[in-house]
Amino acid sequence: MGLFDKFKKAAAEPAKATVAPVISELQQLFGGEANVVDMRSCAHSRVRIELASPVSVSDEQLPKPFVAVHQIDSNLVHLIAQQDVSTLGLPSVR
Amino acid sequence: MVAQQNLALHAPLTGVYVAIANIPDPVFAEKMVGDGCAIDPTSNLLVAPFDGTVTQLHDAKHAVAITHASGIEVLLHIGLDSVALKGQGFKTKVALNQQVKTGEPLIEFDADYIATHAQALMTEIIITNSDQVERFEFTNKALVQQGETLFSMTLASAANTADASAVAEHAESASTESATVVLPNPQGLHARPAAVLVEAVKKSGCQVTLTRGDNTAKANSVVALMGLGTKRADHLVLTVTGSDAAKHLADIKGVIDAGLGESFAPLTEAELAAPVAAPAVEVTQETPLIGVKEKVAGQLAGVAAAPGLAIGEAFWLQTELPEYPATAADSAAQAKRLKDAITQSDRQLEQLIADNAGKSQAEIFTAHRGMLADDDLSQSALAALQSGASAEAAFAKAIDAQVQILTATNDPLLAGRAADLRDLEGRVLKNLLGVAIEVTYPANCVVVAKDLTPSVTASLDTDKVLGFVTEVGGASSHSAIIARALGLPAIAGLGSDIADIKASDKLMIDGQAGTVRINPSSEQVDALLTAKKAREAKLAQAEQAASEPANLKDGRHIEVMANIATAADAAKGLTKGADGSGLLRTEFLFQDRQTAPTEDEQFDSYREILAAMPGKPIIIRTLDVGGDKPLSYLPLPEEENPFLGERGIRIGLNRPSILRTQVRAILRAHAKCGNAKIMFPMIARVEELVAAKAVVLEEAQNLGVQACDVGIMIEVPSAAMIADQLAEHAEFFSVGSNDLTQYVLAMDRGHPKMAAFADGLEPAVLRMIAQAVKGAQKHGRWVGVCGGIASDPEAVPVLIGLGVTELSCSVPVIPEIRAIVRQLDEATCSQVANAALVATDAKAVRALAAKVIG
Repeated sequence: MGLFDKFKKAAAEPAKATVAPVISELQQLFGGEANVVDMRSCAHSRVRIELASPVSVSDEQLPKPFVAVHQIDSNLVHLIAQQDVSTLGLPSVR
Repeated sequence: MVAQQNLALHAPLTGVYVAIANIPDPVFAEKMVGDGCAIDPTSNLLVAPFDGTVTQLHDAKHAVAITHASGIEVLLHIGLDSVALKGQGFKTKVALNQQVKTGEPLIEFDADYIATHAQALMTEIIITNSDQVERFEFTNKALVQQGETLFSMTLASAANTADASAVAEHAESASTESATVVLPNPQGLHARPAAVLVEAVKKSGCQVTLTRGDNTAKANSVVALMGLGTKRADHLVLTVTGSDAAKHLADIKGVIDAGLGESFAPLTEAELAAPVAAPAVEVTQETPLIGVKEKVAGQLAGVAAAPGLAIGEAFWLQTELPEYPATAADSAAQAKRLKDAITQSDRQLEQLIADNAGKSQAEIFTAHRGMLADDDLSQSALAALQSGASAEAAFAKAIDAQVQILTATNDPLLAGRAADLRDLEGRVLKNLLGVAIEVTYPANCVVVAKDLTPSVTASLDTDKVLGFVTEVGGASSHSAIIARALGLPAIAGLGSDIADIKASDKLMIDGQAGTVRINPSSEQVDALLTAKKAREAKLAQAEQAASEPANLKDGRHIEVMANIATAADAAKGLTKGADGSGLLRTEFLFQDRQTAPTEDEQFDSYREILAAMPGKPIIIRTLDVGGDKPLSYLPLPEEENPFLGERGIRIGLNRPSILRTQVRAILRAHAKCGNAKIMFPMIARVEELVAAKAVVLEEAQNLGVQACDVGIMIEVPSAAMIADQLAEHAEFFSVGSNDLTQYVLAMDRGHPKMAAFADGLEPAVLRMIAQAVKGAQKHGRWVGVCGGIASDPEAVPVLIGLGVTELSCSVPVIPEIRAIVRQLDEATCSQVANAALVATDAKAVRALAAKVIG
């Protein structure tokens, strides 16, 4: 495959977003890939996480810039940051 | 020196504190709306941050303003760009102009829905008149708890705030200009465009108003502009007063035309065209083709408001007030007049309370005194006086505002209290106008009036007045309550037919039947008296025989049970001869509380009720609520048609934890007392019953107890149609005739025009019941009825004839229903039922039944 072909192939593939390290930390905190069904950014400062099974996480356990857990129901949480989270590389709900 | 006032604002939510500069919207961040902060919430119920009045409630339900007695106004704005959700995800808990206390619920919201559909969920808490605040002191916490102090304010003394003289100075060279503007903003003037407009207005230094229809708002207030409830393409009148008004008018109009900082689609020609007023529609009163009340010559029919019989001469009571001027020049003199009239009214009420000590009337007049002393009422009247209203008009306007709040609640009881406010209005206005409040009644009269206020009712001279009839009103109005307390027969809601009554006509009123006979013959008087005596004797006999078994003449036993909600109901049911309870409503355990009842709480209640009817079966219906009657801790989205939405068992199936907790509590109580059965409401499909019953079986196994019988309500037509399939899984059926009737006939039983037709004895409904019985019998199951028709004497032979073996009635009628059962036999009931199934309507069915019950 020539260099030009590599460029073409790369262009054809969807760009992979660079996910901030903190997102991996969050995923671990909530039971790893197996338990995190979906994780997206929403509402400017929130990360919305759907879980396969409930996980109890306190505000103190959250990595910065996240400061609070908003438990929506047993399998759905929002994590609130004190900043815009759209830059963390997560897909957005909107 | 004027003492400075401090005001604390308590966090209306729990969540993350956000400094105003960090709000991701320049309109808020740059304090264009005012100073304050935001909270990114971890709770979902917005509560009042201080005591005050709801002065703004946006149509999109995302924003509310509260004004404190000091005049400080806070705007609470849930989310950013949330106006575009058009109310979806929000549920208001207050009405406009309602007084609220700190911590009182304002708006409940679906946090996940808003977070996933709006730009942000953070909630702005902004003091819109922050120029009246000298100093703000904000919390230094990153996380705040609802109710703790979010910020405190040192209010500026009056001398430091902009006062009217500044406007007057400005007004010396002022002129006024106005123009029509067409609003291009897609969501009207919500917070952001309103703030941009306010900025433009402030820069102009002019007084600017914006008018939409009959409503005008000062354009220096974001909240007032939001309160106009504008929409795109609204034609608004922009009025500018000040020096160089024409130039400022053009500037401000330009800002509006440019979209006030929002992008928008250009206005179409149709939108730009001046709205054409809809042609006046001439409403003609037509006689409907069906449902016209059969007129019996010389007889009027109304609502039975208070029982009793009276014969007397008609005395028309005029309750209209003389006309009064709407405006007055001297507001100080008007204020004094009003104050004097209020004092005079208060003294009259005090006297009435003393005269009626220990009677229910005294409580009503005490409530009137409380209303008269209400701050909101006096402040509202004062505001009207200051804008040039006469004392009479000011008080009437203040009452109007309160009446609107009450009627807006859609709560019939609160709306009924509006009559008390009108009563108070009449008293104060009569005192203002010097109109005599006391009336001289002729001897042996029946009072005839459009409506009677509680005051007039309570002051009726019972030595002379024998009863009353009114054009409007109902059985639950205060005048009806007072009539019952006074022992006066009363008929309300005669409508326009009341005009048939002429002064001095002889009236015979039957407060039980709700009928008025004009100039009756002596035979008619005798006949009525005789019939009443006979009925009274029959009821007394039924009471005496209440404990005797309810067996048909040919021996078959019919269970006559009680519909109950409490242990006291159960005990009362027993005294009336009930064989048990065919319906225990459990909603009372779940209502009027902030959290769901625990399993133990429910267990205690069920055990107490089961113990109140020892050895007798009690059918416990699981929670039956829905979008029309949501619970505060169980947020249900507002539904376009709640009666076809998530209600009854559907709630339990969608939120199994609620169902499981209740089932466990019932099973535990059953294990102790042994006489419970479980009944699921609103079952429409087999799958629902199977899933709900599985919960009972699983929880019985988990608890290690015996499962009790499981039955269902037959109240959805589909359940009647597939009764044979449902009967495979249900041990019994109980017909909920009220809902079944409204679903079968597609008639809202609360609809003023439909209610009269929504009769459970309509043949279509009876055929559904017959179908349910047939399906049940296929599997050897029994069928009861716990809806309204079980308490209806004329329904008894029909239902028994259809194969119903249990009737669960309201407690007071149990002896009468038991007595009717005892006078019937199997063959007669079958004949009536067969004829009823092919009858043309409920009226024909009732005629058939009436013949056999006597």
